[in-house]
Amino acid sequence: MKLTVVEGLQSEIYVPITPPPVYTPFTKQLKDCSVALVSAAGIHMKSQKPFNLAGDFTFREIPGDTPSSELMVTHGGYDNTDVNKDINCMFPIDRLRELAKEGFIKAVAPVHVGFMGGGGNVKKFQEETGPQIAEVLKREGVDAVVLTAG
Amino acid sequence: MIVQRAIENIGIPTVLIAALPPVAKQQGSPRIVAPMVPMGANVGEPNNKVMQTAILKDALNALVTIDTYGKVVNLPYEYKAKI
Repeated sequence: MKLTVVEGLQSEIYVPITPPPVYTPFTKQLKDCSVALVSAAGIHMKSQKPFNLAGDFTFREIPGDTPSSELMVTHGGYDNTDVNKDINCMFPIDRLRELAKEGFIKAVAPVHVGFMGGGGNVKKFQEETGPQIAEVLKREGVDAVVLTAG
Repeated sequence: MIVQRAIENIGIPTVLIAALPPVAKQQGSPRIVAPMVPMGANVGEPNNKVMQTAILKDALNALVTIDTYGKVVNLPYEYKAKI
């Protein structure tokens, strides 16, 4: 078909582009899995540096044995009321421990990850932060990851 | 979802508990479970151990049941924050 408009003409309306699929099949059984939590909700330990509310592409490694009372949230992109009452609303570490205890999963992973999602420097997240977090989880032998975001 | 995709890309299967599943799907999240929750309480009502356990268990089970990229599984749990 011959173009009837100016070649290269583009809409001035930006539309989100869905990236190509990425998918790793789940081949194990849950009872044999070491499971890690990864949250974009701004979770970190009280002893760690808080996120910069103006934008932050860094992440925090949270050891698997950290008591939930030692965790807090720094994130300006959503209402923190519920998560301040109970960190498990976004980072269900106590629930995960209970599932490991009852044998539903094999273990709580030795490390979990918190970062501040919801935009920021998308390029940094794609090219640096994302791959770095993935490397940490691989290094620690994590079999499956549950994320909270969005 | 960028981070979820990076983890999946390195060979670790993942599942996302999302409060805004259409956004997650549009952003290319490979596996999504969606309870009826507000942003900020994705795993359910604060201090509601029964609901949080159910949502987390169903999320983990979705690793087994979701057999293809980009599926959304709606979960039958509802929490409305009082704002």
